Amino acid sequence: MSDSSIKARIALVGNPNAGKTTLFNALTGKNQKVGNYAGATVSRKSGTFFTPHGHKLELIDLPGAYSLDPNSPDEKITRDVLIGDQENEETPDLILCVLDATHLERHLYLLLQVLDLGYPVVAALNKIDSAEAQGLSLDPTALSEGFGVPFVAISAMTERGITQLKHALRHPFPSPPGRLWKGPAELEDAIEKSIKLAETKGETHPTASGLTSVANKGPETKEFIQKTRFEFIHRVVEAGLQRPNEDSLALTDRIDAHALHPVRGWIIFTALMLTVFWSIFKLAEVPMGWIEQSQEALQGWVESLIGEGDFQSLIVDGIIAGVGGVLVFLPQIVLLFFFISLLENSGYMARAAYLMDGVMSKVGLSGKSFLPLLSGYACAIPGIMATRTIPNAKERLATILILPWTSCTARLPVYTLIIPLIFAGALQQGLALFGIYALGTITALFAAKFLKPSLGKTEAPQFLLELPPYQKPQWTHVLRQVGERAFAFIKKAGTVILGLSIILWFLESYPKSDSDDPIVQQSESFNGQIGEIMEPVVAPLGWDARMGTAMMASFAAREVFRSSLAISYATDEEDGEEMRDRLTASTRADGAALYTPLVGLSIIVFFVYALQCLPTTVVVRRETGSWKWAIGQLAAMTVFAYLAALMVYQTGKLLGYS
Amino acid sequence: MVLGEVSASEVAVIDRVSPEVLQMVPASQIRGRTFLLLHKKTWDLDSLNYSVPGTSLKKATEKSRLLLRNSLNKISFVQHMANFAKDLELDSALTLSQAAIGCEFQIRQVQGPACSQLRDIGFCEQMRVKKLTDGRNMLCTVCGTRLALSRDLADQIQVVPA
Repeated sequence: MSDSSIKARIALVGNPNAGKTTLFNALTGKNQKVGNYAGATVSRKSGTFFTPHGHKLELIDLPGAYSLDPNSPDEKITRDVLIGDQENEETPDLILCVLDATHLERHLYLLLQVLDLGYPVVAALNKIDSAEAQGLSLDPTALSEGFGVPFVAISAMTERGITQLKHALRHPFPSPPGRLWKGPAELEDAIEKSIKLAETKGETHPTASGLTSVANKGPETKEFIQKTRFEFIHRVVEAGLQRPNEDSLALTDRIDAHALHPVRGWIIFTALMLTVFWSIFKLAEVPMGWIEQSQEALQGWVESLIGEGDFQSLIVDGIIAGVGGVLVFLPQIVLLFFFISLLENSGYMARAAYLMDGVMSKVGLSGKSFLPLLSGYACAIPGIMATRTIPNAKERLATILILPWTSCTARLPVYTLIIPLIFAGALQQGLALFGIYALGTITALFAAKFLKPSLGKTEAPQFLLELPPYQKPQWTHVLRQVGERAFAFIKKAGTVILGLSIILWFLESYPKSDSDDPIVQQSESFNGQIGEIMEPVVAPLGWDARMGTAMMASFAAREVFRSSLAISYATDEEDGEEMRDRLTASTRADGAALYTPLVGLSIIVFFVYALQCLPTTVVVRRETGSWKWAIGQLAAMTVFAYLAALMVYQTGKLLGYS
Repeated sequence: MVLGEVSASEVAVIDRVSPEVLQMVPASQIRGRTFLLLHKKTWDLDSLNYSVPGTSLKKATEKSRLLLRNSLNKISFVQHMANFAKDLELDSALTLSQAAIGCEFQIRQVQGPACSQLRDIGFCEQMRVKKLTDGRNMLCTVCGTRLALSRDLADQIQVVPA
């Protein structure tokens, strides 16, 4: 144990969507992401908490698994941790098995498998309030007697029963009951021999190895063991669970009758998405105005405080313009995360995946791929990690490779800067934003169609997904998640964007020109020189040198495109003029408007398709296990983005647009 | 599996049967197949001595006995009784994709390439399942959990009315 004060390590294990992360947050006081859909947690996370006796325990939150026979990479992590196959991970001292009380029979299968491994176990009967509301009558004592481990009824969401659970986790832990089910003598002999063999080989978990090797002898044996476990569960559950008659339609059924309807379901889905994108423009207007006003006031205050010169320029034109230019989009990003968080918490995400399966199957993917793609709208990195829930390896790889084309929030500042140059009115702007997201998603799906066959032959993906009941969003979690994202954005603005803004200001301001003309200064600066090199490359896209250098800078972080333009055009500033007005007023050498709708479209198309995010490339390398895919993806998406922007601009020109 | 009041292990299925046999042995027609109700029957085909509780086979004529023997020879899958009963059960079982919407079923057998994955998620033998919607992907509930699964997967689950 790395920390000597930690008394023991406890692993949280359970089926997907059993409420493990909610319980983890309730016990440790942390704020890990929770979602009302299977696959919200795909990697190991840890925290600590104290028992009522003052013992410090480490709690490890593991990805959900239906069984210890993994069907996807996230389930494999859980299995590997429990059997001691995970690198740099000690096996836990106790398993806290989280069971959804509303779906108890299904969840008990994993508990039996964990008991087979010989661990001490405490079972948390989570969502007990929902079970009671459904009229389910649970007897934790009968279940404890049947399984030989303590059962504690809890509600992780409302923190009911958490104290009792902490009491049950007191040290020393309950002794492990071991394997509860028994097969015929022949099978028992085979298991015993296999375990002894594993012991002589010095395996970490001889019981697990012994059982696995017997089960792998043939499908009949595996099937027999599975059935025997379920028969045991049936016997115990008969004493510990009583169900009411399920004739009445639950609220979830009534909502799903519309939400999953082949026609009405799509109308609801489209309406929801349109509302989200419209809200991003409409509801964010006021707070964005406040930030802009504050930025201008701050610039004015600094100008009055510091005399004219390089230092003032660094603060006003470099730092405040650069960082403020990005911070102004905070309300829109907060709104997008708020809506994504609402969809995740309410249980609608799984319905969207169900609806999308028909579309996804046409491109060789399944609805399961849609959940990571939807997560990609927030950020590509958790989206790529969420592909661990996809059982089919080829489908997973194809999803990872296309995922960056679902527009993440880092692109939002670029879109929301350029869209108003093309469209007026919140509704049109919302529709345009919806169109941009649709463009990225549709192209990603087409890419999957052409990409998947080249990845090698594979079985057609099968759709199998749990649809959780709808629930009221957990507002504290929603607000905490949004708050964390907002903080992360502000932190990025205060660190990466700040640093890059200073560099960009330096490149824009030096070397100093003898001329007082700001245009001459700009052309002779480092940025101007880089722009000169870039101009022949970006001119066919309709861009000028400043856009070229901003695009180059945005490879460090997409938001820097906005900062770079803000710094570049700061010298053109007229009193009280907003940046968008400055862009609209800027002209080419021949006096023609620079930021025409066609040029705006070309910029948007480039940003929809370009993969300008090095952390994403690093994560792709980690998840695919190869630099070949990561670098290939970066190169292919950059080239595609350039060609797409080129095609849009040149075709537009041919059609007579400027 | 219950057909009326008769347990499946007491039922034999034959493809063709003569009217004389039907007079001797209780039978019924289900979906075009003939089900002989062999209440705890014992057959000795070589000597044609047989007894079926509730019938008076000793009164059967020699011709009837011959017809019965011929009919029994035509039984297409006379097997050991346990296998026989299993076949019958499977014969009367439906796949989940064929099952009617809104009805409750019991899972009889899960067989196919994805059977292990299906069992892990809850589609295990003896579990009760209710089909909610049909289509390319179907919705059903298993132990109160709503699950969506493709038709290919549903074809691997055999159910009988609960």
